Amino acid sequence: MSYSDLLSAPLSVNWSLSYRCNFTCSHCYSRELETSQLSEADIRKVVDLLAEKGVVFINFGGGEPLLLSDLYGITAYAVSRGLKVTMNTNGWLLDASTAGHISRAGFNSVGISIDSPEARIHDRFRNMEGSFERAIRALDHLEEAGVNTTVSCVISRENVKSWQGMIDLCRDHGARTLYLHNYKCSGMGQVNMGDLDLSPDQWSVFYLEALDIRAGLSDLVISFEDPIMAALPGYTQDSFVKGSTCGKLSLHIEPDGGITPCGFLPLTIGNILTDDFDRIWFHSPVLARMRNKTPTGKCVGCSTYEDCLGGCSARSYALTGSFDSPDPHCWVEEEQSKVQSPKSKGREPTR
Amino acid sequence: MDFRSWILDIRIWIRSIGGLIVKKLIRNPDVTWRVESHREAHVREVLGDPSRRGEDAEAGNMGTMTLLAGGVMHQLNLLGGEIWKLCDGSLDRQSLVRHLLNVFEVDEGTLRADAGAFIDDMVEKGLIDEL
Repeated sequence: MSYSDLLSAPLSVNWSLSYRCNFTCSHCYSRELETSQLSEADIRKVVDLLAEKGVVFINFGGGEPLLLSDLYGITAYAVSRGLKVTMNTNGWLLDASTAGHISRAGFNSVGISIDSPEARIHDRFRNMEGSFERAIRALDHLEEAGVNTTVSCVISRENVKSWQGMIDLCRDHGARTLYLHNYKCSGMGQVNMGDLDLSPDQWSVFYLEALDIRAGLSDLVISFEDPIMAALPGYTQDSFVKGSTCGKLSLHIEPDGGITPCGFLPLTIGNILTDDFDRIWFHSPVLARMRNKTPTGKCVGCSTYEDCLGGCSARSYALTGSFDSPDPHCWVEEEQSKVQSPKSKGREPTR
Repeated sequence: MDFRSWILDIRIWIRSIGGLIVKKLIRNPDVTWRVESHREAHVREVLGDPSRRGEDAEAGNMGTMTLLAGGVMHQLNLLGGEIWKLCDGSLDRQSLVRHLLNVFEVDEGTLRADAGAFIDDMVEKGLIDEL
């Protein structure tokens, strides 16, 4: 990816305003992270900068955003600067009054984390008794307040056989989009991956099933993005950006203003308040390595590499310390990878 | 006088006038858009430099405008981006082409055809309305 190939700035920024949380989820990437937090004045400076650079979307995550007392003021300010603001919350603190504040602040939509249509499984995954009921009530409060909602579901061994039940759950509670997130091996996600992560073949089966189900739905959007989907047999969906979108379309801001390529990569590449943003975006050596990966191992000569670019860089980095290693979720076997896929006909395999 | 045929005549007359009323081009307000400023500057630099003629085609196809609509991302080149900016509801196709002729040094017929095809495509995709 050359300088002129890059967008002028990220389109979206995932912003962890704080890593404080009232939950201890089994897969959490940020549970063990600790940093200082920006003052409200500094947060507004960051908002100004993001607006000036043309960033379109801010998504507040972390950390539980609703633990922040000044969340609504920050959001209203960001909205006034033309940014579209969303957040992800576990919903525990979201009652009717909170939903009203969220509506008035101008959130574009709010994502509620629900990992299973079965309360027992969700509560176990989130390590919080009663969290399923509270999350469902949060969806209902938001719907009553006129706020667009989405549901975020992390796919794991706990729910891979039952996630389809989330479709009716979304329909019943007014959520417009169901996000199915692939499992990330960062933080607690790495600690618990032996119990929770799917095998590469299970990921392949899951994606094929999810694609099939999505194609048959017209009343609900099911969204799941994973660069390794390019390696699915017969996969023809063309994406604007090949490989991981982190560092190409998006960045992550830490609570102290540190910038990382994404929330799952603990590599701080600068600080938004003290470093030149354009210099980071266009010239960060870490971003350059992520944008210009070199195939290694089974990726060398693989017929789908030019579309998947080795898959999720965060997963590769978490397990091997290198962006260039094959995605640990990739199901393509070494010999298979050399067989030309139908999609790649006529193209030279990447060397 | 046959009052009913008189009414009919008026209806036909109104329809004829309606056909002459030009339609204005307006961006779909649900589409989020952004100028890719550094790319745009790069393209303008290449196109404005006679010594870089060999880079014309590549620069002309570079996305200088990003549109986000319904979860889909679109990229427009310099001409497409200029048309998009001009679709503010004040111009019809004819006047839009006249504006473009002031910006781009290109044959009018070619520009009219290219702009027309682009607008047709954008209207079909629901990104621009012609009202």
